Amino acid sequence: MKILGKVVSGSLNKGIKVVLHADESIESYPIGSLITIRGENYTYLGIITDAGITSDDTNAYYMVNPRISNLVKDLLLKTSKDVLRTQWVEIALLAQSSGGNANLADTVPCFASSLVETNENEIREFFGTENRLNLWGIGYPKTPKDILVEIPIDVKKLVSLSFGIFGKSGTGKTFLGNLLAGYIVMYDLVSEEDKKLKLLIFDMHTEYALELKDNMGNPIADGVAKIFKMHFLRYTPDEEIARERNLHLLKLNLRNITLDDITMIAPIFGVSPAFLQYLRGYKQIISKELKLGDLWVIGLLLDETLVDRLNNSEDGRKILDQLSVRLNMDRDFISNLRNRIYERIKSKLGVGAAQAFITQSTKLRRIMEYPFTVEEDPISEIVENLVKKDGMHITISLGKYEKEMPLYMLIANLIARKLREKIIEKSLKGEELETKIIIFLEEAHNFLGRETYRTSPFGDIAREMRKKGVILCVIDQRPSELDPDVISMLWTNFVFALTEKHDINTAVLGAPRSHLFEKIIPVLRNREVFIYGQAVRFPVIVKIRDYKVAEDFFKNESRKLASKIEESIEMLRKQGLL
Amino acid sequence: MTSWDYLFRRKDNAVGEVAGIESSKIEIYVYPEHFDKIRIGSIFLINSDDVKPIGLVLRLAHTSRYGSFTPMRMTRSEIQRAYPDLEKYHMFVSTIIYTSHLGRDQKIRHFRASAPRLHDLVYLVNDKELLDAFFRPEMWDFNFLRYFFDEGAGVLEFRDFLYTHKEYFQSREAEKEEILEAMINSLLTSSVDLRLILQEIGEILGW
Repeated sequence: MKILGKVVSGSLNKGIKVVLHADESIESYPIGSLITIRGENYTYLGIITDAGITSDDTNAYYMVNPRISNLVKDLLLKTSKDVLRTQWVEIALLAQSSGGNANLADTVPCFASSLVETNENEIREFFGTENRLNLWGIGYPKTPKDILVEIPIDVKKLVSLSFGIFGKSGTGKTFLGNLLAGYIVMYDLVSEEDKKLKLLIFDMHTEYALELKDNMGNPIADGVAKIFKMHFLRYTPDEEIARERNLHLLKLNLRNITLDDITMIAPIFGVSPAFLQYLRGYKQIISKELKLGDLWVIGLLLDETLVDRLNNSEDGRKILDQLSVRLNMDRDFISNLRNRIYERIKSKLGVGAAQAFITQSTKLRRIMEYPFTVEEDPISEIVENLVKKDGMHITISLGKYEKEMPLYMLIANLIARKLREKIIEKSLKGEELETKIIIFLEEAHNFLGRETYRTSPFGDIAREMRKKGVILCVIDQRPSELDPDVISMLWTNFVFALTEKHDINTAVLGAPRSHLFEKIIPVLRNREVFIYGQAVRFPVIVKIRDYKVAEDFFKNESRKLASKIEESIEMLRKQGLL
Repeated sequence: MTSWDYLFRRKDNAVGEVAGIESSKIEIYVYPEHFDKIRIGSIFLINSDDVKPIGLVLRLAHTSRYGSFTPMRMTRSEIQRAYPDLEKYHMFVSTIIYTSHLGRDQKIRHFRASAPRLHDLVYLVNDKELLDAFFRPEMWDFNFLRYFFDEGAGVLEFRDFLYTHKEYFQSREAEKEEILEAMINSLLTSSVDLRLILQEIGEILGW
């Protein structure tokens, strides 16, 4: 056992300082690496949170003194580096083990305890071993020297409560999301849990339903829903993708859009607060007084241009027909509806409200550029799948609308609301949900932010639905913008590199002695993630396993499953049961 | 016969004798005819009975033996012609710092042993073979410099030491890395400012 250094000072709360042996190179001790300290009674596991060199000015001057030759400088370094400088690492203690029992560290190693290389057995002892039942290898721990044993993630524990994936753009959130989703699918297939797991993945960039992309946008691997397409229903509002890649087309049913939905997306369109203040009144007038009922959103947005556009599509003409019936007005006169609404608002709510209606409602008209319907109800179909034991996992991929945040928010809200209603309905009937639903929510701060958490259906889900079997996988690059209640609900956290101080503080908040890990987060490399919480025994930094390897594994498993199903069908056929 | 025995074989080889001892500093009376050969940093070996103390010259002094001095207004050759025995009335004294010793086994060790006695004869170590034995008893070893510096020598005395032995060190240029390594190892723990020492080495030896 090579001794790499000695414990010289520190505390549990501030971290332990270890001075490295003179022959060690500080460059071999990257921040975030796992290390082992042999104490008198315990073996300790820690993470390097800082590293440095100390030297006094006199010693430092040797190295820059032009009157000392390079040969002499080299020899000085060779012979006297222990005198010239002290190399140290600061370590956050994670766990302590004695006699095979590993627990969170609540003691510190004795003075002059030895820093040694972490070995594979210790990793297994502290973190467990992949068993492909509940424990699945997520990636290799970051250690000074490579260790070829993976840290397993406990999928059973992961899906018992909400969890979060945080990190800047391009750090690996989507790779991890796909990997976790794959493990959840696999776990669901091999486990004998009463409740089947159902994934609902809001897939902004279509990397779960189709292919993951590199930074240049080139496809590099199949997404989890494509690999397990037998188990997924893949929806998209993008007609072209739906047609060409065989996904289900998802249209917005305008009847389902609520006041809250409009309120939530309005700021994105730059709608004025005054308009939002009057919105309830507008709805009242359009819906009740003008009798448009659940088509009130169309009334809010309709003008001559929109009428022309509606006339150009089948769905549009159906809307105009329905408006015509409800208004008891010839279709040709519908373009005058806006004036009627204006006059009614003016007389009921005043000139200010009417002016706000005219100037602001046009800003919302982009809603009508999204695929819409007033007849189909894909949302109910999605929700039914999620609550049925033999239902499918769902992805909602935005395709070409990936930058259309309002569309994403509308779809997400519509599904969340319908799902919540369905669960409450079951609950009122005294029925339990047959499934456990895990909602992957990208850009989660749009739904669970400080301002939206109380009004968004996802906020309701986060608050009320956990006990009923709905949990969230919150994915975001700005965790500090999430409501603190949401953060406190996350029991496992995956934190990739973040640079903004508040984001870092928020992302590591639940880790034991969280302040010690704040220094690590900004320097994490791509695919390196800090994991802590329920699903790992101890906090750890892991280099997420290469998704291409996981993809091959998932594909193999998927093929095996498909052939098993085919065999079963064949057998049933032979038995005359099919 | 060892090289050391060869040095001691004739008492005429002696350059002086011990005139006083105070702690690590030893006063050597230098015979006048040898005074010109002595430099700061020269290595003296004292032929005591048992172990033989070795030291490095720290200071040279030339004074009147009886305390009075009379100006003569003559050149050195005029003085020698006029007063051929004048030097009998002068003191040529060198102060050395006791740094090392030659043991009974004829090996050099760079730490101090027993003190010499008054009138023990003193020999100058300047033969290449003897210098090898001194600087590299087994491997290059400059621990004698720690005594030299800690007992009063400074950077300037070290500069003189280097010039005194420049020829020797340059003859060992092929081994400069080992020499420097040993020197640094020895001096890191001494009180001297190593930066200045290393600068002197760079300047004088070009290493």
